Formats: sequence, C-alpha cells, structure tokens
Amino acid sequence: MFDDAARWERTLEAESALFEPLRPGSRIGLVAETVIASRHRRPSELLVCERVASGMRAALEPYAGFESAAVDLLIALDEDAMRTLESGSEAGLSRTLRRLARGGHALFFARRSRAELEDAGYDDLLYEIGFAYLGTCR
Amino acid sequence: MLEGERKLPNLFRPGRLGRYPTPNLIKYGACCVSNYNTRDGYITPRELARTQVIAATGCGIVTNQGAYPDPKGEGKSYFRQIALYDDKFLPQFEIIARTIHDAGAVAIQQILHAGRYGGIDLGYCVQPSVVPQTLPHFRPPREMSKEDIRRCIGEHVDAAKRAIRAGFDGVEVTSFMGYLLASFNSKFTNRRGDEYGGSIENRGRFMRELIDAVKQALPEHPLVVRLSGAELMDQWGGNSEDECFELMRQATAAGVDMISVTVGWQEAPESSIGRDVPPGHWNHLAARAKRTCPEIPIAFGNRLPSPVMANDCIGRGEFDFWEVCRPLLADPELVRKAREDRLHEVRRCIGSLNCLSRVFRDLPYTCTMNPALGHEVEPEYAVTPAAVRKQIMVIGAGPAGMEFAITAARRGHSVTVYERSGAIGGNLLGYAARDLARPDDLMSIVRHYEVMAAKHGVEVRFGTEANAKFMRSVLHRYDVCVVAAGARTDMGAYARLEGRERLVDALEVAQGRVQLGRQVVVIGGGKIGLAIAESLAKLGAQLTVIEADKRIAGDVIPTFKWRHTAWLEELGVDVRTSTRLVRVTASAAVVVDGKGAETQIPADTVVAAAPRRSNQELFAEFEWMVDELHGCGDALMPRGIDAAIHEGYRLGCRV
Repeated sequence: MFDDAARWERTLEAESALFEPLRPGSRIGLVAETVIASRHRRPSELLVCERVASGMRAALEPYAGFESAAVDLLIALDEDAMRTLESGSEAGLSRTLRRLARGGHALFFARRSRAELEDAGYDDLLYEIGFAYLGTCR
Repeated sequence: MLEGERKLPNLFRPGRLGRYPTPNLIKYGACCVSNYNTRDGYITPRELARTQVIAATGCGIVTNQGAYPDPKGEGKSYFRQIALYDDKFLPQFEIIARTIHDAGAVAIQQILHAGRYGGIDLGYCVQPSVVPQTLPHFRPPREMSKEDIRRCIGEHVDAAKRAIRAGFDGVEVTSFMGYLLASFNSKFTNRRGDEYGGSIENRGRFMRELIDAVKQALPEHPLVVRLSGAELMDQWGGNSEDECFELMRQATAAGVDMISVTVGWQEAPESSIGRDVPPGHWNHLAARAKRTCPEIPIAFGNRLPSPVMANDCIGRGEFDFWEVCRPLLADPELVRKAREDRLHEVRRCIGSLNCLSRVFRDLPYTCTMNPALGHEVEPEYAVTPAAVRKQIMVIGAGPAGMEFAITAARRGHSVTVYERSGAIGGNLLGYAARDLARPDDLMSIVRHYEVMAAKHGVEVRFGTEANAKFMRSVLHRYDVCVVAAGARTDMGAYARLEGRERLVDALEVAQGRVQLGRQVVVIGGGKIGLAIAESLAKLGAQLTVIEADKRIAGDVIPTFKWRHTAWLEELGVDVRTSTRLVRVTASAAVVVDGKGAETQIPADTVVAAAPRRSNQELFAEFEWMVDELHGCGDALMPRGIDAAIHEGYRLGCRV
C-alpha cells in the first residue's frame, strides 16, 4: 500500500495545516507491523513523509530496523490499519491514526525526545494523532 | 476483635511473608514514586513525614517506594527518585525501616530500575534491545551487553543488601509497567539473539539470575517480584497472558517469596487503572496467578479499591495479600476505618490519576481527595485545635464549602453552611450524574461530605439564598464568613449576541431543568461542555461542540483528555475547534471558523457551557458586615474539584 507515493502526498496535503509547522527535514516513517514484529532483520521498506519547502513529500526508503531508521517518528501499522488507510478515510489522516492508535492498530515509536519533537514543530500533530496523551496511566 | 475485623475476617487475619509474620493481609504497595526527594537521590524530611503516615496506615506489609540501584542513574525514571547505590543514602532508609517496624509492619524496600523509561538525567536509557519507546517522554535506547547485564544484577544485589542493612526485612524488584525486568521478559522489547533473548526460557534468564543472585546474597530475607499478569502489549508482539504466567512459574522456581501481580505497561494502548476501568476488572489475573503459583503468596490490587471486595477475593483464594496504594493516598485511615466498621466514612480514591499526572510531569504527587498528602511535614496543613473558637458561616455546600466546613469543625469551630439548593454537592451534583466514566466515583465525594458533616456537627441549611438582606438578618451571629458559592456560566458574555435569548445555560442542563431538542450545539469544549455533550449524545441527541481555542479539553486533567477524545468519537459528536458562535436562530447556531467562514449548524437547542465566571458578588456585599471574610474554590476563580477541595481544606486549617 505504500507504493503510491503520490496518493500519500495528496492525503498529507489534505491536512497540510498540521504539517506546515514542521521544520524542513522533519521525517515521519510508516511501516508494516509485520516488519517491526519480525525477529529476523529482513530488509524491508518504509514510507517516509518528509517536510520539504513545498509541503510534504512521500517516498519509499529501505528499512533495516529501528536503529537505522532516520525518522523522527515511526508509525507501525497492523493489517487492519493498513486496510483502513488504504481504503481512504473521510475522517482524515490524523483522526484516523488517533482512532487506530487507541484501538491498538497503530503504534508510534518516538525516535526523538518530546522536547526535540516540539522544537521541530510536531506539537499540533502529536496532539491531533493522540500521541501527546497516550499511555495507560496518562 | 473489632466489628470491622469480624466483617472482613480474611483481610484482617494474620499472614506471613517468608519468615516474617504479618498482622493482616494488607500490603502497602509502592505504586509510584512521590517525587518529594532531592534530585540526587537523597530522602528528604518531606518524605520522612509522609512515611510516618504510610507506616501508620495499619498495613501488615509496607513497601517503601522504588529506589534506583545504579550510580550512573540508568535506572532512574523519575525526577526526584530515591537512590540506593551507595551507603551515603543509608541514614534516611534506616529511619524509614524503623518507622515501619515501630508501626508493627513488615518493611520491604523496592528496587526500581526503569530500563527503557530510565536514564532521565542521561542522554540514553538501557534495554535488552534497541526498541524505541512508544511514548514521547523517554531517552533513546542502548542495548545492554552481557557485561552490562552482569553489572546490573550486581547493582541490584548490592542495593538489596544495603536495604537489609538499613533494617528492611526484605526487598522487592519491580517490573511494573515495562521497567527493566519487564523489558527483558517481554518479546516486544527483547529481540536479543543470545541466551538472554528469543525463547521465553531465555527471556526469563535475566529475571531468574537476578532472583538467584539476590536470594544467594540474602537467603533469610523475602524477595518480592512484581510481574505483569497482562502487559496489554501482546497486540504489538509483547507477551501473551500465557507467557506472563509462564514467567511467574519461572520466578517461583527461581526462589522468589511473593509475586505482586500488575497490569499493563505505561505504553499499553488501553487504560488499566483509570476510573473508566471498573473496580475488580483485573481480579481474574490475580486468581490465575494464584492457580499458577499456589506455593507462594500472591499480592494484588490493580483497580481494586474496595476492602470488601479484597476480603471476598482472599476468602475465595484468588490471592493472598491485598496490595493497596492509591486508596490509601486518598484516605490514609482506610484500613483503620475498615477495622472499626466505619467504611461509610472512607474518603474514596476517585481514580482521577492526579497523582500520576503530576509524577509524569516531574512534579511531586498530590491527591485530589487528600489535600494533606505530601504536606505532612508542614504544620500549616495539620488539623489542630483552634486557638479561638469562632462562629463561622459558609455560603455554598459544594466541595470547597463542605471541605472548609468539615475541616474547620474538626478544629472546634461552630460552622453553619447556607445552601441555595436542597442538597450538598453544588454544581458537582449535576455534572457527576452526567459523567460517562463512573458517576459513582464523583458521587462518593458528595456522600463523604454528607457523612462527615453529620459526624462533625456541621449544620447545613438548605433553600437559603445568601444576599445582603439575608446577611443583615444574621449580622451579629458570625465571626467569619466564607464565600464558596462556586462559579456559573457567564451568560453576560453573550449580551450582544443576536439570538442570545435562545441560549440555554449549561448549569440548567446539568441540573435537568431544561427540555432539550434532538439537535444540540454546545458552546465550549472544556470539561463542562464535554460532560454535557457526551451525556446528551449517549441519550441519542445529535451533538456539535464549538470551541474557540484550537484544542478541546483544555481544563481537563491530562489523564482524561484522551478519554474525552475517544468518547466524542465513539458517540459521533461533531467537534469544531478554532470556531466561535456569532448568532443563534430558531433553527441553527451560526458559527465562524478560524478562516472566517460562516456555517449554520442545525440546532433546536444551543447550550452555553463557556465562559465560566466566579460568583464573587457576595465579597463586595459582605465586606463591611463581618469580622473575617474569606473565599475558596471556584468562587475565587473557576477551576475544578481539585482546587475546590484543596483550598477549602487549607482555609479550614488556618481560619
């Protein structure tokens, strides 16, 4: 489902207000949960959504594990989440991600500290996708 | 035998932990650190004063909060967490152990190495494997080498020996919520290819070696391990429940003396201890632990706030010790009240998680329900006999007024509360009834005030509107007047709004005094607006919430922001932020969004839930009528239950 980068760019564009505050070079990765869960380090692919001067650019990159994933935020999607996002949701990407995360279908891995993410302009985005207040005791 | 002991015989029968007899089957759990201590790990007088209260709770076992065991601070997860990596910390631990023993309890010191949540003062944390955290609060992970593992086990042993030297009877190692031990046990975070990773046997090796090392060093002293009955991370490759219980079997075989069963990781997508989780929800995990490991005692207490329920569970053999913490933060006399059959006087933990919300923001923990928590060292927070006994009138029987009235009455003052309505509770009554989580929790506040007002002789006169005329009629009866009249919706803010006569006050809605239509627009996405919107949507109305700010739930406690967001989505409530009301017509609310676009939202009722305004007018009216005039709670500034209760108490302590 990550193959159609142009479609992803349109999806991101639909919520451009959330991505506008991101510092150029900020990168969000999307990866299939099966890749994350695998104990064997098989080379796979990661959809990287990067803030560039003109907006958000989406492109596939090789994925070789957490350590080498050059993204600020890594979003792992299970099969349900992949299907939901593939079918396109009227609710919009951020709201859909929030719902998927609360339902346990999308998992966010922070690759930067909260302060670094906020400095890079992620504040609104983290709030909208629910990452700002996830956690069992929060 | 006291009456309560007769009614709760299982809870109050003697028990045993290792070679130590316990007077009852209640364990004070080290549920979270207090953040009362110094940044470099020393225990403060504030903590020692708090410990005296903990020791006096009457629990048979008292677990002191978790100390990190390593000098680097890789295990340190909280801003002001205590340390146990050096003898220099011992004097204060000795005082704590002695305080617990003086109260007749078995003293256990918890060792807390936070693993993937640690390294708070460092630029990294340590884990079995590099698996980034799924919350944005933590340090980047580093994989532990085998040498790191050996050193870490050694540091745990040294810390355990130090605790015993300080006078503790035993130690507890926690894997609560995804800390180091849990991250080795879980296949979510343990992706090692060596003998510490892979199979469940290998993943449990770190735990078994740790247990073995501590037991070899301290064979006479009990070792407790906290282990997950459910990580709630299985969907993400974490351990299944079966695997969790297999690890308990491994711990038992390795020689642990007690297992404390916990639920959920910090990173789990679902809540495990908030007030949206029904009491008793996780009891089945404790029962399974007991079936799995019948040879050692099982302690349990997650979302189990009731001593009656705990007594029944122990009676059915589901677990052996009731592990309790947060209910004792809310009411340190809970156990004593249970023994004396005074459970109706208990001040319940309402599960607001104010405590954890603060700890996770590097603040000392406090409790919504217990204003003295964390202030035990300060005489200003003690309820002491009044030097001069005064005649006091209180305007308003909400949480602020009642908290003040009861505290002042406990000090010997004569207190009369004047309340306009016919019940104790103020505005809380209406909103509590509309709470989607557990109305019973919020209503317990009201019931507590009813009971304690009667107990302490607080007179409450209902149906009395306080105004200047009324004040003149009672002018010389009182030395003190406390205005605790709460807050209201500021309908004056809509004075120039076209169609303002069609607006309905949220307070009227909360109190059920308004007939509503099927299409409702609520103005204000704060806690009051959200409570109204959610309850109406649940009853089938079509709801829209309008919020001028760019985010809703601005005044909601952090632990509950996500819950409101989820409820609104589940109930299909249309939320429009950065939007303001410009007009109300017979059939619509007309709003303008952040880009200036005007929209008509069909509505047969438009409810104003914001802005809020304090009922301050009485301050001016009463100023020259009484010797002392004070205010507390929302009457000073609209906030919420926490501020109301705390201010009422503080004023009651000093008036």
